[in-house]
Amino acid sequence: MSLSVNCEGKTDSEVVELAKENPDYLACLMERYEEKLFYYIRRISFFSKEDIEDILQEVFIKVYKNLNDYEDSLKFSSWIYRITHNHTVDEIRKRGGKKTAISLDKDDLFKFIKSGVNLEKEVAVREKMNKVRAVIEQMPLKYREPMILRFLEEKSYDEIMDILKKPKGTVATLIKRGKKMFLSQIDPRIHSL
Amino acid sequence: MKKQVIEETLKKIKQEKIEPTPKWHFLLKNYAVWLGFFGLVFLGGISLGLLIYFFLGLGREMADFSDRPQHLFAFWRFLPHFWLALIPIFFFLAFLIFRKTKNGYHYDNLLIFLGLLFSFALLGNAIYFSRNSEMMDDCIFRDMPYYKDISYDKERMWSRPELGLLGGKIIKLEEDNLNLEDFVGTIWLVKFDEDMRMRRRVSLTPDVLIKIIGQKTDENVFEAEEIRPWEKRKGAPMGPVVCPMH
Repeated sequence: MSLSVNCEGKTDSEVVELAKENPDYLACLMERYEEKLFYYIRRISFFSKEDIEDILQEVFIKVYKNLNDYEDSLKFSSWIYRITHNHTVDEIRKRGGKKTAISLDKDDLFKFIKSGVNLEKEVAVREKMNKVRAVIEQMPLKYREPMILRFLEEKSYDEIMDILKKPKGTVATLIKRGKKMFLSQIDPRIHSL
Repeated sequence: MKKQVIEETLKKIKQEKIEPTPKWHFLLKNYAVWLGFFGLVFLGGISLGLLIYFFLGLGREMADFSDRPQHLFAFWRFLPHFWLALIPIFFFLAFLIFRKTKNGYHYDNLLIFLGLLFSFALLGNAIYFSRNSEMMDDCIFRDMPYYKDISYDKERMWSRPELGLLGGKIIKLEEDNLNLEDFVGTIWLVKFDEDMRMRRRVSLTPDVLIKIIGQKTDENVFEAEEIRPWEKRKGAPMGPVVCPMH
C-alpha cells in the first residue's frame, strides 16, 4: 500500500495534529510503530501472530480515538506504548490469565543475558539458551515487562515510567529485582560472577 | 502483514465512521478525577476536624476521671469510632485517585502518602481551630438520624447509669435526695448523703444541668457518689457556636 499522504520530515506530534483532521495521516504513525509494537506485544504475551495483528489493529483504533488526549509533554512513543501495554495486559487477563509464554528470539535472549552479567565465553551462554528462555517465561509479567522495555525495547527509565505509569523508583526496583530473579535462577554460578 | 494491518485499520475507521473522541471529553474526565480527589481530601479534613473536636471533648472528660481510674475503662465506648474508621477510608481513596490523575504516577508512593498526611492534618486542624467542626457537629450533623450513635456525644455518655454515669436536669431538690430528668425524659430519684463529694462550682438548684457519678441501685433510683457541674463542653472559653442557618 502506498500512503496517500506524505509525512516525511514531520514529527510524531505534528502527524497527530494532522491525523485529527484526516485519518489517512494515521497511516504514517502506524507505519512508524507497527513493527516495534508487534514485537513488543509478542514479547510480553503468549499470542499468535494473528492474535497480535488483531490486537495491533485494536490498539491503532484506540490511538485514533484518543488522539485528543495526547499531550506533547509526553513522548508520542511512550504514549503509544502505554496504550499497547494496557490493551495487551487487558487481553492477557481476558483470556483467563493463562501462563504467558513469551516468544523471544535468540537475539532477544542474548540481549537479556548481556544486560545482567558479563560472561566470559559466549559459548557458555549458548548452552544455556533454553534455560534462559524457560527462566524468562516463568518470570512474573510484573518484573518481565520492565526488563523487556529496558533491555529489548531499549527504553530509558523515564520512558518506562510513562509507559507503565509507575514511579521511576518503582521502575528501578522492578528492574533490579527482575534482574536478580533472572540471574539467581539462570545459574547460581553465573549469579556469583 | 505490515501493510495489511494498516490498510484494514484505515478501512475500519472509515467504514465505521470512527472519529477521535472530542477534547472536552478528556478534560471533563480529568476534572472529575481532580474533583473526586479534592472532595475526598476535604471530607478527610472534616472528619479529622471532628475527630480532634471529639477527642478533646472526651479528653477533658477523661481528665476529670483521673481520680477514678475504674471509670476510665468505660470511655472506650465513647471513642468516635465512626470518624476513626472513615478517615483511613478517605485517605486510601484519595491516594488511589491521586495515582489515577494524569501525572500521579510521577510521584513515589511515600511522597503521595506524606503529602496527603500533611493535607489532611492541615485541613483538619484548620477546620477545628476555625470552630467549623463544632459548627458542623452542632448545626449540621446533630439532627441527622443515628448521628449521635456514631459520634462522641456528651449526653449519650452521661446517659449510662449502668456504668455509673448519669446526667440531666434537676427537677426537685430535697435534703438527702433530688429528682433528676435525664436526656430521654426519665425521672430519677438520686439519693446522696454527707459522704457525697460535690464540686465547688455545682449549684444544686432546679433547672440546672448536672453530672452524677455513682451507682444505679434500683429502677430509676441512683445513689450519688459525686456531683459535678454539667459545664457545656462546647468551646467553653470562646462561648457557644452560632449556627449560620438558624
